[in-house]
Amino acid sequence: MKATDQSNLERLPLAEIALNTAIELDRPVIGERATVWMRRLAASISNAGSDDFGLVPVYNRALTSVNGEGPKTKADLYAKLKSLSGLLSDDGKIMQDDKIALRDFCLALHDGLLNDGFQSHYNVVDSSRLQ
Amino acid sequence: MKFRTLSFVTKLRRLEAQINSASLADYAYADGQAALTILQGRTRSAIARIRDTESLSPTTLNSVLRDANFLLIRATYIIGIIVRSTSVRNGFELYAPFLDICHKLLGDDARLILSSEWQYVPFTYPQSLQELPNFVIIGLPASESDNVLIFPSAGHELGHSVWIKHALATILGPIIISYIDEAFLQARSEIELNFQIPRTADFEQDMFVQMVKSSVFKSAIAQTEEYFSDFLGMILFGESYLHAFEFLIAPQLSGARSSSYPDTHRRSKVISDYALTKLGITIDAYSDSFISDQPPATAQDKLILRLADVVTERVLEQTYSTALGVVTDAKVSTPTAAQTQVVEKDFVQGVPFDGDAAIGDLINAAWHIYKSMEQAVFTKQGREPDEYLSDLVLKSAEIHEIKRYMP
Repeated sequence: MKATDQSNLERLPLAEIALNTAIELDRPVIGERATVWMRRLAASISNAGSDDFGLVPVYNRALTSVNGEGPKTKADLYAKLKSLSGLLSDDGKIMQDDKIALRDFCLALHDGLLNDGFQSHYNVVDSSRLQ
Repeated sequence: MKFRTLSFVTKLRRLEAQINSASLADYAYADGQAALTILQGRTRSAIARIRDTESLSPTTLNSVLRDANFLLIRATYIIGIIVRSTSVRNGFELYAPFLDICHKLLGDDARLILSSEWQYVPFTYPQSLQELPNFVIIGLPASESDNVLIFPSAGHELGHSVWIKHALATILGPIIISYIDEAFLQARSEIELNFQIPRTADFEQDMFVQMVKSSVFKSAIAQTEEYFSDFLGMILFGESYLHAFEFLIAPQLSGARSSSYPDTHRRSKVISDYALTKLGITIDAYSDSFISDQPPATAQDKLILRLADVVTERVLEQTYSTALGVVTDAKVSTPTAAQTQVVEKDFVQGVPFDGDAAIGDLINAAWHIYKSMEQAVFTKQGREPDEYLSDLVLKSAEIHEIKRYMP
């Protein structure tokens, strides 16, 4: 990947990273592109913390989508994200079941972030900003 | 190609055609066209992604198509703003000095789109179109877009871009979280009652409590961003920021209160208090011109907002010092009472100011005259004071610009 591509990638929002990771995980074979996106997503979610506390519901829903059982505590939520982050960093050694689970997590994460994005857009369009 | 994906390719292709058409408009400044070029690239990428993912699972394809819909919605909206930035209603003379401020606060790669919009509130669109991260997009109400008296409201809108560029949520967010934790301990009984939380719940860890805290956080961080933007506008423009805010908003411009904004009356009180204590600006009974917004309907929403308000007010001092630090570090020229007075002397004579002054000095001088009996001088000449004063400020900015390039 060229330096400029890398720089653009750094600026891509989490939703875009999640969607691209899901796309690559959905392909029959995990290639080099998948590894790049998976590592980028792993870095983003392993750093989840108090500065993006507003994302707690989105992460909670995305984690629940993986096996139907969401985190019970805050510590559990961050531990699960760390665990997924480790799996994503595992350079193509992912089993088929994990691959589907990770893809579903990515899609649910993208879905939740897009919902926030739509809400943000319509806040701008429908109401005032200075007010 | 299947109908489902074909329809999206068609929609995006038609969007691209509109982008191409918009590019042909006559732009006074290049930034509008630069934004269109980026949007064109983004649209082409979306088309390529749809073609590439057509054979993937239906759930993944759904997400790809939903993402494309979001792009269509945002891009259509932004293209409209870019096209309207060519309107002759805009006060183009203020573009260059305001872009200078943008460069100092955001970096040399900052781009500015200043537009005239058909909604009666200034707004910015910095957050939702991540493809244009260096663009400051500000819309001013069409009927006011050449009225320099309200221009300081653009300072507030710029504040939102500064907030993102300097990643201030990562600085103030953790402080807000710690205040939320304290607020939850203090209001524990009330929170348990309103949200039916068991008395045995661990407020530090319980997932449902975290979800409630997250709602409080979202409101508090959004309100803090609003106050930050108010403070930035106030520091950049001085008293004219408060006058512009009153001109546009007072007594109130909406009905029910949004959880993303401070209450209108309380907000006016906070900014006038800070104007007085930090900048020595006195405006008598300023907050009397404003009224409160209607509170939320449910007890739960009321409680969330009350907790968010408590936390937001606790972080106000850090919010102000952050805004001041950003402006001071960037060495942006801000107005002073003495320089404003110098400008005012020329304006009262009906002539533009041809010396060096901050943009805030020019607009503050205009406001002094607008609010005083001196305005009658212009009325006698058959001109409305706002029009005459706008001309004086715009001409002064133009002279400054000419002298800059032709010393």
